[in-house]
Amino acid sequence: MNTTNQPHGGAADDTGSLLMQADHLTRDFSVRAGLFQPKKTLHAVNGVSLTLSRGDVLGIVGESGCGKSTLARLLLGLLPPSSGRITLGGIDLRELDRKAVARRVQPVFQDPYSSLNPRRGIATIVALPLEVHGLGDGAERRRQAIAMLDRVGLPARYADHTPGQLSGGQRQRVAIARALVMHPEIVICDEPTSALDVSVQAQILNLLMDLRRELGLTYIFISHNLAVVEHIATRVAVMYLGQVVEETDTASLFRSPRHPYTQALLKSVLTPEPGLGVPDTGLGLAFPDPLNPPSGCPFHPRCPQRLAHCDSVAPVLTHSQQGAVACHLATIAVEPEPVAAAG
Amino acid sequence: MSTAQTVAPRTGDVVLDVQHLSVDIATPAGPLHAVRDVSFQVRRGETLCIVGESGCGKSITSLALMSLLPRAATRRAGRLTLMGEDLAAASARRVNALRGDRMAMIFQEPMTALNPAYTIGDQLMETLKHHRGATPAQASERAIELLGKVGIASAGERLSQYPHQLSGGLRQRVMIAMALMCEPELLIADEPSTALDVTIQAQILRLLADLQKELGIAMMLITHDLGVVARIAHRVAVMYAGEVVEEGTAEQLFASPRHPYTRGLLSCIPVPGRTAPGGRLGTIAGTVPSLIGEVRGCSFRERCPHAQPQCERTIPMREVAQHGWRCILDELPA
Amino acid sequence: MGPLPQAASELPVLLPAARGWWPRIWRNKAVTVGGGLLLLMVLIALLAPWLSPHDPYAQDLTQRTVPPVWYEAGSWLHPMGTDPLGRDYLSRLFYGARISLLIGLSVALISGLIGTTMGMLAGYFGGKADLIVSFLVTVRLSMPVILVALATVALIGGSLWVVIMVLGLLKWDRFAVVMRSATQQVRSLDYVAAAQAAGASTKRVLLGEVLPNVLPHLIVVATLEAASAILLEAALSFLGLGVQPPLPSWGLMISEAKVYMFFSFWLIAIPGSALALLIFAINLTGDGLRDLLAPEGRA
Repeated sequence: MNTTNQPHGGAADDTGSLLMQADHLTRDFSVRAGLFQPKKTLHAVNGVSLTLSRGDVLGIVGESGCGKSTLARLLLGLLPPSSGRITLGGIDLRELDRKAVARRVQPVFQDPYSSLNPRRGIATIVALPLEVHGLGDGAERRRQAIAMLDRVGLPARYADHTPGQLSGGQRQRVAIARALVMHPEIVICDEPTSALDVSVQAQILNLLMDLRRELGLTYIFISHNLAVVEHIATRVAVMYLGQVVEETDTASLFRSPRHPYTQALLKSVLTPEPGLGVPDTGLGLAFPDPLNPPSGCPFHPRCPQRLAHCDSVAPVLTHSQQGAVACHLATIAVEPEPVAAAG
Repeated sequence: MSTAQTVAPRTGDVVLDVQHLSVDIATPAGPLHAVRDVSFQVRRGETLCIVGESGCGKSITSLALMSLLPRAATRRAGRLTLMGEDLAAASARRVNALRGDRMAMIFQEPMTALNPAYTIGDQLMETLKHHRGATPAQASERAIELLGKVGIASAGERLSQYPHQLSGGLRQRVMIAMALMCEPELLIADEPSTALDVTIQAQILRLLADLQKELGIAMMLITHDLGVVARIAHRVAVMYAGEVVEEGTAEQLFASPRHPYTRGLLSCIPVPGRTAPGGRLGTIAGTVPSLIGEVRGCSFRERCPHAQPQCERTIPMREVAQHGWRCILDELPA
Repeated sequence: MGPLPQAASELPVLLPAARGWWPRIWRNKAVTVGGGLLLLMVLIALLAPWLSPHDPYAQDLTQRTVPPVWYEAGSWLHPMGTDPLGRDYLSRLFYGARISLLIGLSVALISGLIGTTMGMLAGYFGGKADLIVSFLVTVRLSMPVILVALATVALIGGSLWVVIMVLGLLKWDRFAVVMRSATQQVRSLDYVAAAQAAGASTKRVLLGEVLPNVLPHLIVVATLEAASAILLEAALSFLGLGVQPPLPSWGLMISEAKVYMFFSFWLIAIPGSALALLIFAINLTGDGLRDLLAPEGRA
């Protein structure tokens, strides 16, 4: 285990205790496929179970249509699940007051341009959670907001700037300050650096890691960028068409991925190493359509290692000491060969 | 199995020759020098990647080549030729004839680059009919051939489909097919895979690399992703604040970068297996300077750990063994 | 305190934002010209009692239909001439401005309140709320405003307040439609989600996050509806269904002057021009305001 990823021992040093748990979460949406078509059900999240321990950085990776953003909103309490439950510190989210949840779980969103109200000064934006919870008076809230902004690298002179006057990286810092101003336990980051330049991304990632150490935070880090996830996450869950297909600690996932989709994803990571060319992911032309999920294993139309029964029997996420994986191949008792990380 | 790029010596004919290209954009606050004295060449069978962060001028460069700049922009070039033909002096009519025929461009957003009101077939065949006067039968045949080349199965049926019936990856393949309809000499791809999923991105890039090997076209690929550059480029030009600050083969650039910005950029990227997980990533302090009004000296000096007083004067490009960089330093200190 | 991130002073590369809003207003010609004109008319309306040379209701049958001062027969005693009952036209013009502006403002306010509430609720909640509001809008659109006004006046008689109530209760449809789509757009943005995630109540989100950002749309519709209301009142008064004599509504003045159209053209031209000028000023101002209120764009 990487010792650099452990937060400093502090007052709340129950590192490793269970903080949040999701059991068989589903979330459906009713969608009209065309103008005169009948309504269809979109299973955006289709049976996801996760655990989050204090001090973790749980990376959730997947491509478009996998349901990771919907999952983020479910875990934030912004959307009610269609079935299944989420518990926070052992208590069901639905039984908790929305404000109580807000004090413990906060988001950082992807788009720095739409995650801040363009009509407010950034100190006001950062103070919003405090205002909503009635903590302190106006002056005190402003003071706390400015202190948090300073902590994320925006000095006091920016306090009354509007978001339109800031760059993408600065806006993302404001979003982080807003998420942290109430000192939550869990921060759910939904692609926080995907819209930023590489050099700015590095700054934000460093900031997130520093703050995690200083404040003893636990992160859920959603991203499609596997290199970033490998760098920052302690555990990784891979999602495909609304389900978790593999989940284990970061080192194991990247050293020996077990699910064919994970293997393809890792092959697709283009590291800046010249001379290696572009690897063949072996996936073919089929593309995932969340509205018409395949029968059996959702990945089988694209799977290069498909077995005969993969199109009729859906695999179940099975846990073992190597981690969790939802694949029929894994039930065959042969340990697959470790795959080199950068194809 | 991967398609390893062997570093070929620059033997192909020069397809695109750009020397001292500058683009200024008029703004209320004064002229914005978006592209400043940019020079490069693309040869047959070679991929040149132009890499840089937002605001560096890479997209404007490609638009300048295609004569697709906005009204407020003015272009100046010492030399701007395609297969020896002067693009800067060409009439609007001639430029129109060249666009889509001799030089083609693929854009970033496959969702919006295709017209939703027309079928794929219509859009594919239009290029050939317009430029070469092909009959519908000939155009259709060529369209099916190209759809097959870009890896789309049952091409005949696809012709009558509309863009919204295809996924992002398929639309991008159609765009590539459209660009290749008239067998262009030069293909310009502006962030062709950025908007796509990671697995699809790999497929599209692999397709472009294979097509280039097969058809021997000159390709200019614009991206911000250094991973893409490493895997697909023969030559790389790094742009910063409107200038090319370093140019060379992919090997040269990644193994021994000479410009502080290039090295800074490389240190920012987490590489699985190389960067220590949980460790600090390298950063580049400061921000891009304003390009409005007069710009003198090295535009990176405010952020450079090795800046010296001489850097306030104009810095020429130095070159050693086809590796060029715009810096006073011979090589970077370790 | 941990180590601070290094690059604290990133500034956007493109156009520097102009701090201070007065220079921005000055640069926006639509607002300066339109707003100036509108302000002038508002001042005239407010100061009418002091600016008017005569009592607008005072009849002088010895001075009937006197032409304005730029005609041979005119004089500075009545700079805009007099109407067929000998009332000073300039004074009636000034007092008429009060009526038009009052109509514009109150109708925009009432219908704006109704329509915006309906639109925002429909846009924010969707589902049943959206269905109900859409249904109500469809019903409302099936009713021709003039005929409803006709019927109402026939039932309870015409007056300034009847006109205001009828128009105010009918002209909310465009507000509802526009605010609904504007709200839907804003609703999907992340800062709304962030406010919800912070625990904000629905009311707080609607008033604090959504409303300030749909305001430009509201302003535009409000100006269009105010202008339209003013014109409608003029039309109703022209038909005798609105403001009743002797009130100096510009529409009524035009109506009373129509028999003199070929002989004393200025009786119609003066209130008509005033009406046109006011509508022009309102639309121009609204146009400019919308540009002004748009938040500073993406870097």
